[in-house]
Amino acid sequence: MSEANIEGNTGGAAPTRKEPDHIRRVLTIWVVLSIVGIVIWVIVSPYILPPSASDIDSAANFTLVVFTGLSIPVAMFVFVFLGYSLFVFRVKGRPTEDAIPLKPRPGLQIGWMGVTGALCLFLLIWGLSAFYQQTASAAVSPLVVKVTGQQWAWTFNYPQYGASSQGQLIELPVNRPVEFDVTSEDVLHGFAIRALGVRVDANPGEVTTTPITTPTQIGQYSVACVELCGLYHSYMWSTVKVVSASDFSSWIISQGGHP
Amino acid sequence: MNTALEQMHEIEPHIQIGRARAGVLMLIVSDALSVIAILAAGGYLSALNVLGQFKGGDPAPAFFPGLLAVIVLVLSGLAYYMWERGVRKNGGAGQRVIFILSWALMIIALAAQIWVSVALKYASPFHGYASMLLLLAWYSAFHLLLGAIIGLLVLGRILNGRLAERGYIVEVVGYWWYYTVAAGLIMWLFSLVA
Amino acid sequence: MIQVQARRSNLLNQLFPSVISGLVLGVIGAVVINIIATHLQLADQPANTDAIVVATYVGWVIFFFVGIGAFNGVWKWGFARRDATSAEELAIAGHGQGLWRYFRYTTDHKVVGMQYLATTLVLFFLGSMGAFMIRLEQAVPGAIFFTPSTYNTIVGMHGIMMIVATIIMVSGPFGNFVLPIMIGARDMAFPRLNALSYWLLFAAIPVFLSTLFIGGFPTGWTGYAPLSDQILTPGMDAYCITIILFGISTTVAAMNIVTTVLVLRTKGMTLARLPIFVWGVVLSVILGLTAFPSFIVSQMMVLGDRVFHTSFFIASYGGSNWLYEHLFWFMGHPEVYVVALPAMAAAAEITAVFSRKTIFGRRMLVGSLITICLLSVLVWGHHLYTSGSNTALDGPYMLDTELISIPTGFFFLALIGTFWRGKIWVTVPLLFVVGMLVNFVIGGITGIYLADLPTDEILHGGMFVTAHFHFTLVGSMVVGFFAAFYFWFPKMLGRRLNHSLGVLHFWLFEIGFLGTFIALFYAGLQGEPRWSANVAPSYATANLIASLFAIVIAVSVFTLVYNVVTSVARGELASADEWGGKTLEWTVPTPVPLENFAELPVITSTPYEYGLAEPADEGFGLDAVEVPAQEVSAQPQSQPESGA
Repeated sequence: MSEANIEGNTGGAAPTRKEPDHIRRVLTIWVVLSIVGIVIWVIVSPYILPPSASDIDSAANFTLVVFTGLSIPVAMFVFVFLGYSLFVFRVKGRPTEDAIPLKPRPGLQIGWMGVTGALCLFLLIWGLSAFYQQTASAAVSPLVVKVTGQQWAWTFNYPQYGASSQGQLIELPVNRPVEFDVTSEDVLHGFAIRALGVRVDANPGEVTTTPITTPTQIGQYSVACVELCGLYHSYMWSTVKVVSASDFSSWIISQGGHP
Repeated sequence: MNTALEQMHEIEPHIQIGRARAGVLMLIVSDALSVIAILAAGGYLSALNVLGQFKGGDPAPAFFPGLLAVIVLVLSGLAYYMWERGVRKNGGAGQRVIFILSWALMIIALAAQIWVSVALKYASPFHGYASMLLLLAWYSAFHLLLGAIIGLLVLGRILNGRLAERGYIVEVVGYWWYYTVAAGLIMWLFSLVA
Repeated sequence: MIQVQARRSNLLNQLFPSVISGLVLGVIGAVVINIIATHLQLADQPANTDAIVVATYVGWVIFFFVGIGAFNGVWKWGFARRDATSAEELAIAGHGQGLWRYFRYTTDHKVVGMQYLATTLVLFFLGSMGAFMIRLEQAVPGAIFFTPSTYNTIVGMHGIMMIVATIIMVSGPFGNFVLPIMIGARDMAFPRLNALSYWLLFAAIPVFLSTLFIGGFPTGWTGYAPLSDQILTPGMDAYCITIILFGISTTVAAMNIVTTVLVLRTKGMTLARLPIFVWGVVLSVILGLTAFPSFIVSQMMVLGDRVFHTSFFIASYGGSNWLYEHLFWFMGHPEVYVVALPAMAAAAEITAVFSRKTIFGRRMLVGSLITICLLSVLVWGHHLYTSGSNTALDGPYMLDTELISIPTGFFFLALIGTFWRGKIWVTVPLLFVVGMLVNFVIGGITGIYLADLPTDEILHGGMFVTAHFHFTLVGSMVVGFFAAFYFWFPKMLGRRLNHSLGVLHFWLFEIGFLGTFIALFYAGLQGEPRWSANVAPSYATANLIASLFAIVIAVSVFTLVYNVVTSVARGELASADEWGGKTLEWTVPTPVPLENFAELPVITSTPYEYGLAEPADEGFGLDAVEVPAQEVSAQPQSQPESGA
């Protein structure tokens, strides 16, 4: 196709050497590398992402996997075109002649906008629907844990049981939806449990709520502070243990509550 | 042919006018954005009313002192307008007395605004409402101070007879002058409804 | 006898006014105001240290500017008997002052550009020291090397110095030095304000560094309230005053640059023929003009809270930390595009020159830069997704944030298309452009993760965010600065930088950078929080790897320093047109004469007319039209005036 046009337009002058079809080559390389990249990512991702311990966290981790998978062809597109250009079109030393100017056809621009727009739309819809799912399918009466952040520790309260934590460890029952109501005594803190996939800022004078999450794995996880709150910000850790319902009841009693 | 060195800082008149207009207008935009930020902050805190403590029982400020300061400010703007019209009609030589009146009114407005600010009888530590009022009051005073200083510089030019050949100065200083009046008025109105 | 007197009076003329007199007077002023403020303290109340500190800083600034002669121009504007003569204007522009002109309130845009360049490099150096201290501390779990208070201050200082440096790094040195020449002007529209914008930045630096002596500040670069309101040490006041000074500096500079491009373009330089670099800088400063006022207001409010006990951000008196977050991020998000746009535009400029090819889709590129500029003002809420405030707006913010990736994509299309089938000369500037594009893809993609609500939920406030913004700000934009630096160095300093050292700098930097921040991405995915003096053991390996790679970055920095120092000291002299570029700066001699042009050029085309007189209307390599080889016309953009 391109060759026919080349010959046609030189007006009878001697045809130039056949140019390899750069576009076809580069697109092939791109497709191959993208497939390889996606396969590698799918294999490797369980080892890179931390294990998830709640429904929300699983969903979020899955989103990360999908987004990264999608972004591999995008990144490869740039890398391959750049790399190919640098190797194939490189001139040794200072060039003695200019290159032929290229202008993008409207088709290319519109196509590009279409593809990037479609990707955008996909990300948007995915994000919004994940967000909607969190709020819409939220359980009606979750376990409520009141969290108070202060410089530099978290304190926890279980108003439904009249219990409060005495130390830096709290327990949650597995498979029961839980919601954290967070506030602060002094400055801004950030309440985050990575393994349960929730975080929300602790603001003085306000009570903010995490999405409702359901722990699915028994185990021990960390509560971190993720908003710089002064001196001992990076010491503001607590531990959350997800345990069976019966273990949870015993723990509640030990914290001065009634199950 | 002009040699370059001599040509360097003799900028053509239409470029002088263009750059003066562009410069002042951009400064006005920037300052207006800061005023808008303050007003938006006030509205936001008022709407949030964190812990119900936004007003904290503080009363609204006295009405008449602020009104007085604003009236003087508006009069200053009107005087400037009169002077500017005179300059345009007489091709560069307005009645300097009117400018001096405008400038004096600006200074009186500044004094009045400082008096208003100092007389805001709120107890420290200030609640959100009082904080906003204090900020608005002192920010207004700051603008009036800037206006007074600019007015002094223009007065210097008038007295030295260096205004006539640069008529655009009257126009662009006017932009800033009217903006100061408008901003003062808006901040005062806001303090009434906050 | 007379000669000695003449020399002495010359020295006096040079010393006063100059930065020396500015510093001396500034310090005296600061001390005097400090004494007065201390004595004004009410006897029956504890000393208001913040008030004293703020007053001292204000004293420093005002007297510094008196000392450096900044008010002379203001005074003369109002009260002089006559306008400045040509000779006086030239003297203020540094005529006949040799190297000393860099140490005075000089108005020549090239001098200001060099001053900005030196300051940028100093800020980068100091900021890097902070970075290496951070990496040192984080290499091993626990806070071992620094106390938590010192560490927090180091983090904050690293952040602010780097943010300031990245904001000014392209627009300051190259926007000042190169841009007026590029549009065919002899100087900026407001030469004295140009000097003002630089010296405001200069005056802010001692203010900022003084925080080390009054206790530092605990908030990191964002200065979040109400932590910033806590009266721990007066060090926070240094932060606030620095920001206010810097905000005024950038506002003045922005106003100057926009006015210059509006009114001082030479004949024939229509907006359609404007080099892409000019577009990038202008759009960037317009964005800055819009964004900085709210930042300045936020700092005024913090100072109010600290000094006068207002409660803008104190919840128990009706204030809210969300107010600070909104005011801050309304600036904070456009600010990264303030950083990005000039670097992106410089990269496009450089790509065209070293591909010997017009920018692919130039109008599309300009349009995309404008779109980025407009959209970026509306996305700040994505920094507040997890703040707990008003989730109703999260959707629209997400939409707008995702949308920005579309014009950014066009930027990539333009640059890839420019490379494509070009005649590529792999110089050091071009290497850095390639590095920029590679890193920008990764940085941009990881931004998407943060822009999307469900993933931000697990990533916000963690090292993933840190790695993302380092990939964009450092890996893309600072690398873009390096590209611009190597590109314009021969024009600005008249010497050639060593090519091999430049290549070494690039590879060391890129490898070190990728290693450091990919490791930190990993740590962020695991959930490591930001601002960790005390790194938890589970993140230890990733942090150690990051710190080891950071050493490679440090080596690359020293490579650059060595290259620059040896070049300036005894490098090859550069030619006027070092790279065969077609923008106007390559048509003037090196070193550039004070007035830039012997005669102002008349423009008849864009500076991208490589190859043909009329660009062929072609697709992206498909249906390529091969035109018989023509005479190479190394026509620069201008044509000399005919009939002088």
